[in-house]
Amino acid sequence: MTELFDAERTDVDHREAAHEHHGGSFKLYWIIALVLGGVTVIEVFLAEWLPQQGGLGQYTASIMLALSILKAVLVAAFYMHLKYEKRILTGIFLIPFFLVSLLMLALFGSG
Amino acid sequence: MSTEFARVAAKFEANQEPGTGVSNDKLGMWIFLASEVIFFAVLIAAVVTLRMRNAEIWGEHHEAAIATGLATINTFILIMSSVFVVSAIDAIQKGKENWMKFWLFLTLVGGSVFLYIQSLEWAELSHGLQEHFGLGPYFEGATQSILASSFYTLTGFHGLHVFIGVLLLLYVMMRAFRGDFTPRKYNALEMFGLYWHFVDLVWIILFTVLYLLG
Repeated sequence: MTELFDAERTDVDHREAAHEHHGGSFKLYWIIALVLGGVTVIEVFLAEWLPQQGGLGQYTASIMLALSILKAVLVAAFYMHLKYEKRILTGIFLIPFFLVSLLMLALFGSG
Repeated sequence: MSTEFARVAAKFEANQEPGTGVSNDKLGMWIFLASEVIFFAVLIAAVVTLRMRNAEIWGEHHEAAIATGLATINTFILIMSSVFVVSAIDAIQKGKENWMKFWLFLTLVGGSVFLYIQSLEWAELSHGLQEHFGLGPYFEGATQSILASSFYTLTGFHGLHVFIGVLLLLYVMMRAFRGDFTPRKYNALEMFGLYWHFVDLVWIILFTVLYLLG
């Protein structure tokens, strides 16, 4: 009977832990959406308007790639809840990026 | 001993993988998403390589056939649809079932409009290549233009993922209207959310690689 009680309590604890993982709030989600929209506007501005004015030259592509990676990180961290999840999930998600960066090095290294 | 057995049994009952402390569903979904990262990242790496080795012709075709207007609208649509999904999850966590259905409906509208705009983009690229370079329609054009091959391959696979997402969303909505989700039980909705955000994340990268870096 005691064991059964323990089992039920543990089950509830896990479910509550799962809820806590969500971490974010309604307000935060919409703030992140505003940031994502704002960064997109900056990207389009950099790509469309700035080159006509002389632009940032060779740095434009690097800045735009950095901005898009920032947006992707925000989506993964807050909307996919990686910021609040166990670290193993971040590891599972990041390992392929490491493998692909090796592939990129091989491709560009081959001339 | 029996207490330990009860603890392990409770973890199974809670659908939790004992080693990682993450639910089986969630662990499986993240492993699937990791395989999707490989799929899209390899395609993007191939396109970047092709582009760098054919910079001149890529630039000419890009200038003639690709406009960022519709793609920018699509970017905003996917960002909004992502926030609709997390809002739906937030609503069901708070027991607001009707709000969950409302946010899911808006997500469905967003996904459908995205696909429609994508179809316009496909036609626009084909038209641009035909007008400026005399390249044939669609796949004949695609075989003659590195840009078109890359564009149709990347946006095609991404569009397929959005389409599958819309079908999954219809299933999730059916369950939502059947009253399957409660503040403590909404696993299918959460798994769909992870998939949908991933599709959004991929588009964020494609938007920069295909449209903005001309």
